[in-house]
Amino acid sequence: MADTAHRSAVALNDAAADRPAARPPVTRAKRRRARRDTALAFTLLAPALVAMVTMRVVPMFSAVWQSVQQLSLSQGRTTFAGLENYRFLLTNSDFHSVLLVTLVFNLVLNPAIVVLSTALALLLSQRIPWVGLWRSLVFVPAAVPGVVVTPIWSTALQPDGLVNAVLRAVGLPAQPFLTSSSQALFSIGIMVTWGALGYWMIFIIAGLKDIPESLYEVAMLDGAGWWRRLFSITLPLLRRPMSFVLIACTVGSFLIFAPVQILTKGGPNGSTNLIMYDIYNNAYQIGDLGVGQAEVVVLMLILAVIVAIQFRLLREDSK
Amino acid sequence: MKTYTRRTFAVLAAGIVVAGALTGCGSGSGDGDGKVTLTFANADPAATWAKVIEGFEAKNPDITVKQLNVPYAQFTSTINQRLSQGGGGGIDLFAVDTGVAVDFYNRGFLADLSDMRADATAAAVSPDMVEQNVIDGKLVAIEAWTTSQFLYYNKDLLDKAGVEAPPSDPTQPWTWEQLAAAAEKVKAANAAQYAFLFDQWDTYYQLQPLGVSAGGGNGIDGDQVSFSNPGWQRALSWYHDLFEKGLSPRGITNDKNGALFQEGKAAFLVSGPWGLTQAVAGKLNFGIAPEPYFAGGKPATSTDSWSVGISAKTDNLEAAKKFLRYMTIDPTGNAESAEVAAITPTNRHAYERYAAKATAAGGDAAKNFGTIMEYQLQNNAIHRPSVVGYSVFEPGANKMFADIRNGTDPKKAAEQADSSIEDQLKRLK
Repeated sequence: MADTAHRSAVALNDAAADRPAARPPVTRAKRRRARRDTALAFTLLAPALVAMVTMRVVPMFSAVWQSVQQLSLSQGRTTFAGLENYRFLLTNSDFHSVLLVTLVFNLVLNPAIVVLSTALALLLSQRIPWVGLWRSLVFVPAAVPGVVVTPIWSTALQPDGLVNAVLRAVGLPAQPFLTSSSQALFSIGIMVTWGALGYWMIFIIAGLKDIPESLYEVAMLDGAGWWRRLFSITLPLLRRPMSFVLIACTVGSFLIFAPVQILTKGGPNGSTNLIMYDIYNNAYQIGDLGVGQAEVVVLMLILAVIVAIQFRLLREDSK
Repeated sequence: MKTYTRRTFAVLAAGIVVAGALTGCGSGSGDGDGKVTLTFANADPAATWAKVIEGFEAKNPDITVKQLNVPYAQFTSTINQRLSQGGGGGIDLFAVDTGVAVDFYNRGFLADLSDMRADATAAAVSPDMVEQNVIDGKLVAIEAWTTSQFLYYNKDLLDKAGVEAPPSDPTQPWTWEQLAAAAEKVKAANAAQYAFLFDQWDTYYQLQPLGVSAGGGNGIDGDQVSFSNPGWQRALSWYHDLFEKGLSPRGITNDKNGALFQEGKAAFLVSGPWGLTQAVAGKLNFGIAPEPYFAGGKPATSTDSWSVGISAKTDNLEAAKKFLRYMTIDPTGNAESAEVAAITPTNRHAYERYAAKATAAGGDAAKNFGTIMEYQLQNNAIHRPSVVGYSVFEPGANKMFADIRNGTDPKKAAEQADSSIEDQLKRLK
C-alpha cells in the first residue's frame, strides 16, 4: 500500500514538472537553440554517417547495379544485362549445389555453436578453481586470426597429420578429413566451432550474470533441483543473449571464407563450396563480376530473410 | 507501430552491415600532369621492382617511376576496373599475367609495342618468349621474367632405396612412367616420408606439360574444352594414380612442398628454379634432372612469368617505352628487375649471368642447372594458351585437378570440367 502511494506521488510530481514546459509557446530563441543542437548533433555524427554511407550503403547499391551488368571478354565491353546474371545463377546446377552446401552447413553449425557455447558458459560460471584461466583458454582461439589458425589446422588434419596420429594411437582408423567430399565440410565446421565457441561464450556468461541471484534462492527454498532451476530459470532468462548469439553467429557463418580459400578451394567435388568462396571465385578469379554481384544480392536477400525470421522469434520469445 | 519500425530498421541495418562486408572495394586515381611521372602497376611488394626503378631513374633523371602495388588476388580486377576508366585510371605500365594478355588486348588496355619487337626478340633467351605476346600481329607486352621446371632428387634417399638417379642430360629426360616406377621403389623401401612431390599441386601451370606431352594439347581450343580427350586422360590417370598408390600425399597445401624437400622428407620434387635455392638451403646431397615427359610423347616443360605492357590510354607513351625497354631489352635493367625476386630474367645476357651465379651457388650438384634450363626454354617450353577467357579456363582446370587428386575418377572429373568451363566461357564472349 505504502509503495502505491509513493508511486502516485512521484507521478503527480512528474506531471507538475511537465506542465510549465508544455504551456508557453515555443520562443524563437528556443527554436534557434534546438536547430543549433540538431546541427551540432549532425556535425558530431557526420564522420560516422559518411563512413556508413560510403562503406555500407554505396557498396550495397553498387552491388545491385553491377549485378545487372555483363562483361564481354572478347570486346571488353560491359553492357546492361537485365536479369540475365540471375537467370544464369538460378538455372546453374553448380550454384544450386553452392546454396545447398551453404544452407546445410549453417543449419547444423549455428545451433551447435549456440548449444555448445551455452553449455561451456554454464560450466565455466560454476564455482570451480582457476575459472578465469579456463575461460581465457577457451577464449584464446577467438583472438587468433583465421588465416593464422587455418594453416595449423591444415597440417593437423592432413592424412598423415597430428589428428590421425592421435586416432591411430587410440586404435581408431585414420580419416581423410579435408581430402574427402564426405568429411571436408564437417572438418571445416569443427574448425570454425573451435574458433567461435569462446567468443560467443562470453556473451552467454554476461547473460548469466544478469539473472538475479534471488530467483535461484527462492527456487532452492521451494526445493527445486539443479535441472529444474536450469530449465525454469536459467534457460528462459538466457533466451535473449542466446538469440543474439544465434543471429550474430548466423550472419558470421554465412560469410565464412578464409578456411575454404586456404584449405579446400571449395573442393573436393564442390563439397565445401560455401557461397562466399563462390562469390570470390566468380568475381576475382574468373572475372565475372556481374554473376559475383548477383550472388552477393542473393546472399543479402537470404540473410535478410533469415535475420527477419530470427528477430521475429526473438520478439515472440519476449511475450 | 513503434516495434515494427524498429525491427524493420534493425533488419535493414543488418542487411547494410552484411552488404558492406560483402562488397567493400575502392578506387583511386592517378595524376597525369606535365612532368613525366610513370605509374607502374604490379602484383609484387614494392621492394621487388625498386631496384630496376632506381637503376632506370639514375639513367633518366627526367622520368620518375611510381609503383602501384596491388595484392595478387585483386590485381586483375583492379586492372580491369582502372583501365576501363576514361584516363586509364592513371596507370602507364602494368604487369600482365600469363594467359590474360588476349583478354586485356580485346578490352583495349594494351598499347601496340610492335616497334620494339625486333629488339625484344634479339635480346630474349628464346624467340617464343616474345611471340607468345603477339596478338593479331601486334606485340602487346614484353616478358621480363621466365621460369622452367626441373626434376630434383635427394641422392641419399635414392641410395637408400637402391634407385638409380635420373640423367642430368637435358636431351635425355626420364619419362613420367619411369619417375612413378622409381617412386614406387622408394615407397616400397620406405626410404622417404614422401616419394614424389610437385611444387604446385593442382595448378594448370604445373600440369599443362603433362597433358601436352601425352598428346592431349592445351585442354582448350577456341571455346572447346577437352580434358576428356585420350591424351589428357592418360595424363590425368597418371596424376590420379600417384595418390591412389600413395606415391604422393593428399591434403598438403602448395606452401609446404618445397620445404618438405628441403628438410629431406621427399625423394623427388618437380619444381622451378627456386627449388635449387631450397635444396642448397637444406644442405642436401641432391641432383637436378630435366622435367620428365610421357613415353612416346614429346617433352614439354612449364614456362613463363610476368610480362609488362603499356596502357593504351597513357599520355606518356615514349617515357613508358623507355622504361619497358630498360626492364626487358637492356641486360642490366632486366637483371635488376629479376634480382630481388631471385627469378630467371628473359634477356639472354642477364640470363647467362643469372645461370652462372645459380650454378655456382649450387656447387657440383647444380652444374647442369643452367644448361638444362636454357635447353628447355629453347626447345620444349610450352606457353599457356592464348585464348579468350583464359581467366575462366584456369580456375576451372585447377578445380578439376584438385578433385582428381582427392580421388575423383579422371573421366568423370574431366567431363564435368569440360561442360562447366564451356558454359562459363559462353557467358563471357
